[in-house]
Amino acid sequence: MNRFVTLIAMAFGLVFPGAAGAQTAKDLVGTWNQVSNVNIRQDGSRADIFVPGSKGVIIFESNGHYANVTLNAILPKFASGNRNTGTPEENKAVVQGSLAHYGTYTVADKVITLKVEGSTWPAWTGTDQTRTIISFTGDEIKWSLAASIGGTTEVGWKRVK
Amino acid sequence: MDVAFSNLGSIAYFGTYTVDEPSKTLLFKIESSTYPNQLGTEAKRVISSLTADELKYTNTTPLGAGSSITTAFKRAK
Repeated sequence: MNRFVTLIAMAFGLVFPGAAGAQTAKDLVGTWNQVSNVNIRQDGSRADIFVPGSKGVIIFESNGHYANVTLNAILPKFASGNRNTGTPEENKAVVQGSLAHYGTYTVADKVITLKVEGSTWPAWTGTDQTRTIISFTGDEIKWSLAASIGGTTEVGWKRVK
Repeated sequence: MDVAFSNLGSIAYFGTYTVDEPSKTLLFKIESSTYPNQLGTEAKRVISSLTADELKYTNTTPLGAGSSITTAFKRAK
């Protein structure tokens, strides 16, 4: 029985070599660019949110603070040239195509907990948001979360050097 | 109407920055922004005061929002 369990563990190690690591907040410190963003809906279908032109960054600081800005779209410029006088369509494109939040973070048991101090998605402000680490290789990380648009989302990041 | 209000109440952008010490200016190279007109632009901020824990700078050419905007920050510890 013990041998069987060992074989299973070895098999998982071979299949998911990236699953190790990222045990402490120190592993995350730095600047990361978003490279993928896939939403998995309740019916199991997958939608690639990271369309061409998407950009995202998350910065984890050694003092426990983080900031994240994500734009999952190429947003049309405001015709008025004034961000306070966007048309309803221009404003809608911004709100639906972007998300920014900041606060502090901790890492435990392969789960990153973001204590959100402020967010452009107001429902997150003042809440804890968790990210489950799926894989980590030092310079690449992928995590999953309950998506603000429904279902779950898997987001991939690459360390900026 | 909620959408319009939400845009008025926030802005987020990211990219890289440099500081020119002689002219006390901070230059943001904006890679992306929730205000699309800023995308790919450079934004200059004139540093009016800087201590170890406090920073104050002025945007002398704000995009359609008055003649200048001064913003103050306190270092998070």
